[in-house]
Amino acid sequence: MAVDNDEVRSIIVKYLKSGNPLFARLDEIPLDESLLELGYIDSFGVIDLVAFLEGNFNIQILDDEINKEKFGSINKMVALVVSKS
Amino acid sequence: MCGIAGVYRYQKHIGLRAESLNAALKLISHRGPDDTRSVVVDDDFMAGSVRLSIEALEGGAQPITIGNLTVGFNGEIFNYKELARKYELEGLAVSSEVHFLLHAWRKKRFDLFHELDGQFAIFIYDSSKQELILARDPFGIRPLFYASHDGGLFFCSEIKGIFKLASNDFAFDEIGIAEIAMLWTTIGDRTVFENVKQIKKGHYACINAEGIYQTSYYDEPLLSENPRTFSSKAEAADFLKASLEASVNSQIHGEVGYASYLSGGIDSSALAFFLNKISRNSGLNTFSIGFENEEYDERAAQNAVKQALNVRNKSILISKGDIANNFRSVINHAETVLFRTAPVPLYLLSKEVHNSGYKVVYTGEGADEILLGYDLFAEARIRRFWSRSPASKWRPNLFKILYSYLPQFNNSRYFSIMREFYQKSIAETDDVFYSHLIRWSQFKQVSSFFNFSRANGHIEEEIFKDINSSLPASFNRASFDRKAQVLEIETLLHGYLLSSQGDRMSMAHSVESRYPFLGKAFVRDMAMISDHQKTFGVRSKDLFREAMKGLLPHEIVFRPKVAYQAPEAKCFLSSSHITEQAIFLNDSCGSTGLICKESLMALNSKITNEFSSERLGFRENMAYVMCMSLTQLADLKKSWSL
Repeated sequence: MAVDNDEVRSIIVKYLKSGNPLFARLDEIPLDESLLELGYIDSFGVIDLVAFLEGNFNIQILDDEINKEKFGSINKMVALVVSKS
Repeated sequence: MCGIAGVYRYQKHIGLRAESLNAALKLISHRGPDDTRSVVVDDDFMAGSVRLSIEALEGGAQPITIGNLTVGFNGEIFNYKELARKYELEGLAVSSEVHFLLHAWRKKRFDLFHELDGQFAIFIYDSSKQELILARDPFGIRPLFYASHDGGLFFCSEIKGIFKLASNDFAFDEIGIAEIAMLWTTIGDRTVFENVKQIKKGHYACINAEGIYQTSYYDEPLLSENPRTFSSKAEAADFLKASLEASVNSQIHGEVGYASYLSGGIDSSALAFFLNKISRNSGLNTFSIGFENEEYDERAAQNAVKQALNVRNKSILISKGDIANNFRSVINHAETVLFRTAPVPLYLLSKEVHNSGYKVVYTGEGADEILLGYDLFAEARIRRFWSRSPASKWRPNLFKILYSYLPQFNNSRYFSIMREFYQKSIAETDDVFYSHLIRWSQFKQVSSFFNFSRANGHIEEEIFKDINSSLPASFNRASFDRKAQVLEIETLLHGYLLSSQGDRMSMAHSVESRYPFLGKAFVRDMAMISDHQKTFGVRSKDLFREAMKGLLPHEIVFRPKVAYQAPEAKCFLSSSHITEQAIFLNDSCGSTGLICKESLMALNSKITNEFSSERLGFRENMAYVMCMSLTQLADLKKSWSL
């Protein structure tokens, strides 16, 4: 399934907004910062996000990809998903 | 064990309505199905009780009036016979706790409460002094609420009785709800209802024409300097073991049989071991919870204990449907906003105990707080240890040992990102609330599902005012671990575990729970053992495990700590089903004006997304369960005052 960056980004942002009113109310979505550091997701939230990305985009995320370098911001997640789709 | 209720017209003398008292007693009749009595003492005071007969089956009817004093109580006073001898009351008819209390009060007055060893909520009315005393045990095991309304003081073991006595539908207290979003419970004398207060744990209240004053009678042993040195770990472990056995024995009280809960962890297994020793001839009956979802299920461990101790164990199996179908009844008993569904299985377990013919059950609450068992204590130690060398690669790996039962830790794939989660929290080691900062930081997220009339900053200020006023002055001088322990006792143990999971769930089915880990002498003894002797590094309940070695199966003694958890939001709603509770929530969430409907609807879309994980995020579950309980409670409370 070919997907483009904007589409993936909007799906991820929409999903994150659905569980998090504070995030949903932001004027500007932080695309390059760590959501864990900003407090917008908790530890279970990380698992939930990985499960969602794997299911929704029908991809497999490897263990060594769930780190700050590859998973540490929305744009990094977008790049990861697009590279696998 | 009982329920109590009463009215004192202390400011406005407009007469009493005996029918409201009888109606309130009827509302709490599950607390005492064996007998109901009420008494109108004078123009200004009436009270009554419903009784679950356990001790002094014949002579224990209450309330009692002798001379100017009327006394009633709910609970057990394990050392009343010993104190009756000490106070030289034998000449008087002190054949039951309630008679003891009356005579002992006459002799000792306010010096009485700190000598009691038990779990109790007491009222004492003195008609000659025109004064009412309400008192509650040191940990708040037994509930006691009151409201000052329209010149009257209304008190009851349950909040619904106060609504009935005052014929008033009390509004929600948004600070109380916000406290649950932060601390997981209300704190101090606050409840989730405006104007409905609780007698603080370890306090008595004095009510007379001048007003209501609550005073502490309990000195927290964890904050007193009374260390004891042990020559070896084995000696300290023997001390712990002997003290726990004595605590179990001291709570064997009453004229009816008893059973025990068995979770499969070391706490309840240790209780089963000592109880089994006492009841060797008849054998011990234990009761357990199993889950259809194996992520929460502990039946394998329960079976290991059952076989090793040769107890008769009855297990109930909980499905997601059980959680959803019983949630409304659970809220009716809990009378608060729940942040998780875990009380539901305990509600069903007490039903099983009741149906098996038992009135008394022993349970392991308190062990984690007293013996340093919680992850939170070790987590705080790791964060502090890591903060001394933030660049260290291996220090944060200690989290893996600690949370091995949680998927984000036992599965190495998530660990790198978890490290990041904790990294932001390791500083601020000077903060007196350091141990709890991670938990409390969820407040901003969870509270965003609610429409509070006050700004978040103002609400947080109120919450910290409540916390600070609940902590003794010596708190700030306590060790790092002890601060964490006291905070956990003030918040989660008192406000949630002993009430929402404890008294309220067991008494829903007329079952009294007993807590040997919170026995007076045991708590005092354990405070004498140093923090690091109690548990070393990131181990959980290290010394306790040492003490139970050889008495329980090895795999139970050294089983890593597993937190009791139950399935949450997806019980009510998922991509494949929608329950009537979820429909009710969607339809009625606007009724209080406190829930942000738009946020809840967005959360619904996440819960029903076919790719969202079974567990969701922690805060999302918490927000959903809080909204569900608030909406149910808003509906239920309307009927309490009718």
